[in-house]
Amino acid sequence: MQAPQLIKYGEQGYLIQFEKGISLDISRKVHQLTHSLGAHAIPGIKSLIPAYNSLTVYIDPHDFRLFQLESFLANWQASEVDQQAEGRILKIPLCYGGEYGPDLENLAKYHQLSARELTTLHCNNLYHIYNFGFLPGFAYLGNVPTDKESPRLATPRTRVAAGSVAITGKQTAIYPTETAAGWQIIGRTPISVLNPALEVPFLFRAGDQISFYPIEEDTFKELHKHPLDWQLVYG
Amino acid sequence: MDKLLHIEVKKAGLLTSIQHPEQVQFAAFGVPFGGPMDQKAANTANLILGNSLSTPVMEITLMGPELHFSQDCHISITGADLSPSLNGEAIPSFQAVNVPADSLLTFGRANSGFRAYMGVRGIWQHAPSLQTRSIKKGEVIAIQTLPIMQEEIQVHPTPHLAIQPLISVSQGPEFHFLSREYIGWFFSRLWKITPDSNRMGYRLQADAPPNQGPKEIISSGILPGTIQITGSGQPVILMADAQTTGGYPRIACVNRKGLDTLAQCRPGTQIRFTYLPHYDT
Repeated sequence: MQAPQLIKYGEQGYLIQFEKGISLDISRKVHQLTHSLGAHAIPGIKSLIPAYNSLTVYIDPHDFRLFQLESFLANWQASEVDQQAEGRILKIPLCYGGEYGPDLENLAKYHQLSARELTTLHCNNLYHIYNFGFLPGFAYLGNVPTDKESPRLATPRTRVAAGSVAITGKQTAIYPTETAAGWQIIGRTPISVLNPALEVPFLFRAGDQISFYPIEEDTFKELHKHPLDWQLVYG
Repeated sequence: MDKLLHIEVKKAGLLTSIQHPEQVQFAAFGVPFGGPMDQKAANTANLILGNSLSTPVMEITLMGPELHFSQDCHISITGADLSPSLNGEAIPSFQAVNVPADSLLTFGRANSGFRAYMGVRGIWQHAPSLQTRSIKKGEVIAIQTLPIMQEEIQVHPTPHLAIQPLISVSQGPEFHFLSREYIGWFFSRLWKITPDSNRMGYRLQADAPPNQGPKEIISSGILPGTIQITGSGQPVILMADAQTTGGYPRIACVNRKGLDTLAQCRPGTQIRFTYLPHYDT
């Protein structure tokens, strides 16, 4: 693997660019680097934004010294050990189709599957967190094991309920809060992925693996009474 | 003093919010940095009062709110000149103002700039939220007031007189990905800020852009001031509440001073960019 490149990003940042492409392997390296750079506490680094194949470093130019980041990177090597193997597996209950998943039928047809087959495909899989973005706590999960990539909706919805689970491309995600959105909605989880009362208010952390399991509407309604009962998904 | 002050929102104004300093700890979870759009004006409002710079401020956009103060306290208003008055009498900006108990603060004509900042001396009982939320009519903000320091703090008001401000930018990570024609065009144009600009981003009006080259990148981190070139060739300057990642080439990045200047530019303002090469190795 090539060493990541350090690129200047305006007056207040640097970009650490990994090789081109989206893959599990690169994503794990980005997460490893984020973790070790965060633990290393170089003065002047305010924040880190990991993404698919890059890590953006937000700096305070008054305190930051470039050589400290350069020498850290020169000495850093991605570990061969798959840290994810030791990470948590979270099991998310999901009510597929119907009013909670208005695009399930159409999307299944697009893939020449029945709604049931697409549901099975979606839930018999462990997802990796590639990236957070779009909204607080919105995690881009992959890969959805369909043959083809799923298209976006031609016209985005102006309102999607919190907890809605959607697919686009080979990615799937849970909308943490109500929003306008263009992904295809296949179901809804009664669990809230945000708990503003907590010091770290997010259910998911980089390194977690996510799986889904189907529930019926009455179970949804029962679980929806306690959306912050995260013990349920730690399983 | 040392009393509990309640500021009641009688009218919310066009877009009024309470801004804590930018939050850097959750960017990796998709939380925008947020914070005041004009950081210098916000810091000045707190400095005048002797507040720590981590104290929240109220960000007031163009048409100000109506606020009722239950107790006496000291406030300061900086940034845009939106004609503040206390109980019907005009009050000065950029200095500490004593507010008697049971007072009404209102705003009037927007003389210059776009965003004003109100500091209040004391400890705000207000928790930061993950995203900017406009204050609403009827809402009450509680502040434990503190006495003001005796010595007068001298600050120089920042004028917002530039008709076509020159915004300094430095190179973004995808500068060299874009075509040379596009880069030349980008830096030679007089840009207009479109009406759909907000705390998330400023869109710039682009007619007939030249071929820009690559239109997308793999989603990557966004810092305040990043200028992305969208698929249609339209540039967007990403501001305080921008998403933390984006998938368009990042041609350039506005520096901190430029962001403060932009915060005071109303939609329709024309701006130019100037390129600051960086010399560090």
